[in-house]
Amino acid sequence: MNIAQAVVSRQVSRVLLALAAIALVLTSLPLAANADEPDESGKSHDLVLQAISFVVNTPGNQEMIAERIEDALEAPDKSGTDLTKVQQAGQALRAGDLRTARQLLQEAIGARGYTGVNAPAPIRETLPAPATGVQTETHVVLDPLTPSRIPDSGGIVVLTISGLAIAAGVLMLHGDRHRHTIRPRHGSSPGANR
Amino acid sequence: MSVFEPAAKPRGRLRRALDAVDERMGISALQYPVPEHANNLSWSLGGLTAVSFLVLVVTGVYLAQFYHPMPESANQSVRDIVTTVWLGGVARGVHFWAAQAMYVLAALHLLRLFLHASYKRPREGNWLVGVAMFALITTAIFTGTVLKWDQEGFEALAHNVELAQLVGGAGLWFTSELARQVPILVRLNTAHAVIIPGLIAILLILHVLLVKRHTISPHPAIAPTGTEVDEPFTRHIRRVAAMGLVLMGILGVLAVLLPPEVGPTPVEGVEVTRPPWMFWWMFTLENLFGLSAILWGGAALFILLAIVPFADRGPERHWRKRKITIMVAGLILLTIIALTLAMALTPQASHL
Repeated sequence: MNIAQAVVSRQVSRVLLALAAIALVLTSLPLAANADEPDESGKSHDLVLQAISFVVNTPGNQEMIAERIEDALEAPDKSGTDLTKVQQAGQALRAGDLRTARQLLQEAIGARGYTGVNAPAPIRETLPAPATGVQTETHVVLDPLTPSRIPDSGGIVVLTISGLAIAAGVLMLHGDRHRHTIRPRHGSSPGANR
Repeated sequence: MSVFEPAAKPRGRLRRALDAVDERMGISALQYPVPEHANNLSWSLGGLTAVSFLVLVVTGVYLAQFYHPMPESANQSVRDIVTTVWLGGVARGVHFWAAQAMYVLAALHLLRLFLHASYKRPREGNWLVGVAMFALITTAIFTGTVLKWDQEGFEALAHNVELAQLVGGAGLWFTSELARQVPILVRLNTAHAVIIPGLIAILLILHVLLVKRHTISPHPAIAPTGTEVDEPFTRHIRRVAAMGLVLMGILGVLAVLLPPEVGPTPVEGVEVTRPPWMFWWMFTLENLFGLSAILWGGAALFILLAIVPFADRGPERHWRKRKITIMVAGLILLTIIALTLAMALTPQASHL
């Protein structure tokens, strides 16, 4: 075996060792995995809120919305939820009127009717307890806020400044060119021993 | 001798002032030689990553004045930033795009270092510092995603909490068990605004000092001595600053023309969104192998990155002479790209 072969062989063995170590990690970690699947909420209020979230996020997925409405009607804890309105929301959904369905679902849990993307806090008679842990504290599902892609006057100022920054940077780079005195020799490795 | 010009020239007031500053602050220490092969874009990717970091700090400080990290009002405060705060939408847009730029530039920087074997002795330690910074950048993007407190952010958090429970005590910080009375969003805000950038700043200083200590790594295809014209590092900084100006201009344009969205307020028990694109490959793994795959997939990548200098210790630096290493790295990279593309084409599924 010459020197080059020995180097390659050593390299191969190290890579294989490294891969073996990774494989060990990969195979051992899933053994430790035992995620607890969270149970479906037993509260009508939470299920109605989830139904609204599906209306906002995936309005085309009516099956999921209808499923959550059904679950809300059958949930063991129906407190704080107007089931009549939930039923009406189900009927509106079946009739294809998603807007009315959403309105009714929001009213069913005491949330204000949807008035736009900036509609603020929900209607509540008492102050809520402060949020802890991973509580979302969402009572009204707001629509996504998609800022306009057409620049206003401020945007045009920012675009102008940005254009000037690009131009200045390019000019600086152009003025700061250095002489090319080196030509890399492809395939060689003269820096190997440094 | 003056830092800024040869001593022979007459010294004006400004130069004398600068020299006085140099005498006290040691600026001339930055004038260490940088070889000619480093005077281009690919050898300035680290500098541009630092420029992105600087932009993120500046815009982040501004956004922090108006962001409310309580779950009740976090999403609304982001909407307020976009709609009512002076330059709020632009600041948020620049912050968002600078985060994307920092991730991409850091990844390209790592790739460039890998291809030129710049991690080899004596630079193994600095490679590890860089990998740690890349992990912190990834964590910063994750925490930033959660802070919006929209459906996407909440689902990212929900995944993370589940993963933290998988690893038991090691994941305690990411669960609500650590501080039951404090919303986890508040602690993630602290991590995003203080802990992570603080750690990145500390590692960045160490990284730069180590670059100075070991000098810029040699180019594998250029003879080591006497063939290149060195320039002072201050000149290199000037070039990076010029490229940084271009980068900042591009970020400004993107912020105005492609501003990021604020998603719907989050609801627990619903899984309808995709994570940011840099996490797609992990979520394809999740689709294939379950939730824990995110954990071992991410851990595997960073372990692989960390062991690179110890697995490839041969003297050869040119990529053509490191066939095995390049082949393994290429396979891993292709796998990540394939998993990322698969996520783009796969319909959203529930996992939690």
